Amino acid sequence: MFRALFACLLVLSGVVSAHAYDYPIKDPYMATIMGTPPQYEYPLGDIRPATFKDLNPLKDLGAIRGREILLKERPVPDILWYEDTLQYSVALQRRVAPLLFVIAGTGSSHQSGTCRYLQDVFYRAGFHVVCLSSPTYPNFVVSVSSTQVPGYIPHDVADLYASMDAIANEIGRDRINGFHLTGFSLGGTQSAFLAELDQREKRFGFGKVLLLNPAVNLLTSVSILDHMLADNVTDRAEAARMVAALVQELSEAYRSSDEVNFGDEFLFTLFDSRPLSEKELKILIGVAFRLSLASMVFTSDVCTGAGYIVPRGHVVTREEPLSPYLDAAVSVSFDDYVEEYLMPFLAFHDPTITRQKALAACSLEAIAPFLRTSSNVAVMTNADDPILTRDNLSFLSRTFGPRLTLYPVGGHGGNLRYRDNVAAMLDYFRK
Amino acid sequence: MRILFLIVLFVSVVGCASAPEHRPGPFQAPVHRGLAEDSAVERPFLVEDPWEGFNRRMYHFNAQLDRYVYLPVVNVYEEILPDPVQQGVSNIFNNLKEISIFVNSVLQGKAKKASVSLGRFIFNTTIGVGGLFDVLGNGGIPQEQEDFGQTLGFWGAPAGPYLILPVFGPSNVRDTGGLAVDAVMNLNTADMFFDGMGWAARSTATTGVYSVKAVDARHQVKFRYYETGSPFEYQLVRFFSSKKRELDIHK
Repeated sequence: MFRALFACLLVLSGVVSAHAYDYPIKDPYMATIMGTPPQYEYPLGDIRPATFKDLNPLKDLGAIRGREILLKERPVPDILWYEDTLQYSVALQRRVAPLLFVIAGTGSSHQSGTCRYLQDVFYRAGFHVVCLSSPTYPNFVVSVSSTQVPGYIPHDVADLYASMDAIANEIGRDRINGFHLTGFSLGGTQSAFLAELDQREKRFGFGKVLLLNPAVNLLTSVSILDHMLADNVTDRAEAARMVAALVQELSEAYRSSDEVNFGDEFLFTLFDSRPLSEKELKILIGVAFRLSLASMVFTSDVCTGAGYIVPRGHVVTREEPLSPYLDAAVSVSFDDYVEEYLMPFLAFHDPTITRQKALAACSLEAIAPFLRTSSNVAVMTNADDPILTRDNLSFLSRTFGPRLTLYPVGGHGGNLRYRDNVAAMLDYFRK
Repeated sequence: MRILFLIVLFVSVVGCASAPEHRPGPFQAPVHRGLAEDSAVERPFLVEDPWEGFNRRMYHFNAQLDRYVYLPVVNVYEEILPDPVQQGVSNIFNNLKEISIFVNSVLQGKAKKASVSLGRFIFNTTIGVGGLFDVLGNGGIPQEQEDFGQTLGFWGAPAGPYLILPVFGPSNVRDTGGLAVDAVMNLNTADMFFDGMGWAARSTATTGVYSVKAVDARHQVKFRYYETGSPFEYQLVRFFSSKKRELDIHK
């Protein structure tokens, strides 16, 4: 009798501990936008137990800071004068330590929330951490990119690789006793390509590589983002109206609350009381993506002087209103960008390239044999990540097998700060 | 005065530097997307900006001043002083601001804000050792945001055109006037400590205080030019700063 009860308890406890993933936001779009509510985040104080050294107020002085490096000595367009150097950020240990590179997601900088967070986590865990902007981020396009036309992964990855090498030399390779690599979203995809490139070039010899919510096929994923907007609004005016209405709603809430600061927590309490509809969420994600795409397209066009947005031969001056260019640039979808700008550019320099060949080169499938056999490359993503199709997911599980960690919910990286995820990441890099 | 001198110096230095000019590459896009601005499109995010040419130049100027003069100094300041000391310096200057916050709250008839401000000033000056510690702020009563520009706005003064000020950044005609009035209110408090000194000592001390104040002011503002990474940052900042101002006036 007792034995039976005991057995029951054992079974029950087994079930409970095996399935306790309760990231709270079940809607993938909501998760993508809102991330992890503060009370569900991994407690960062737990990463490293406090010691007497922590009482020294000078201990972490200047540990995390932005830096810049001049990689290409070439003239910069006058309106982009401030982008002449590559900006990146470092968090360095005082002693010799392994270095972790973090590559930002589409259109994001080395200072994006995700990068800063990962930097904080792994710096506490004892790594040197270097965050790099995405090759689709304007600063990277102007200061580093060899072609200054972003989006073609083989080119972008070569530029990333060269920058990482220069940065490692700048820090001093004698302070580094090993290299690791991670990247979020498009940065995850690029990390896989970087690992493959490093196998040939051998400048780092990466110990561990972790792809966080990577896109399997760049064009597929980006089209999904583009469609979030196209499928939900009839024209631009409607999208602008909807965003304006949301801003208005936020404004009202801010005005009537006692809150002095307009931070994340304010947003959480607000959206708790008035959840957004799926349509609104999709439009928001789509608009944010379009805006960052517009910045990229305009920047690239100004650099190449190709005459896509700015008339060819016209030099944009510092006092010139940019609104007409913004207007033109936000009307460009990613498909338009590929058809009207990226492909013609690639074909101009290499007439043998075809659309099919170029797009295939931007998919993880292009390096599948490498990924299948590389035991040091792992993936962490979510079953409901909106940028992945069912085919993408089955490709990941076929290719990575047990090295794929698939969470049931979390959207596109919404659960990155969730306690189980952070614990798993720490576990992976520490082992 | 000294700031003005610095600016003149800076302009002459920047004016001399001439980099090789940027030239377009050989590739030409088969399609041109640029279109004439369509006036029929609704623009809910557009802010009236008749002085855009001047403002944009000033925006670039401020960014250069920041990059080559102001931020290097702030960075050294942040590097050599431990965080608690920096916080203490900020607290002292913020505490002095309570005077103009209190006056402006009274001018707008906002009793709650006025009493919060007065209470903060009294407690932080006494228990907080001359404002070094923000006792009430740590206890969950943060500083209110009031200034003379808001007072003018509260009584119905229109904002006037958007205006980028040298050093200070985004503003408008009304708030620029307000800035001057607030400056007068704060000026006297800083000066009165050095009353008994001789001219030379007083002048040095005042310069020292203003320099630290200027560095602390930049240290407290987290905004960095072109940190959004977007070449369209000017439009973004124009919308958000105007909107925030508008909301704070009615708060």
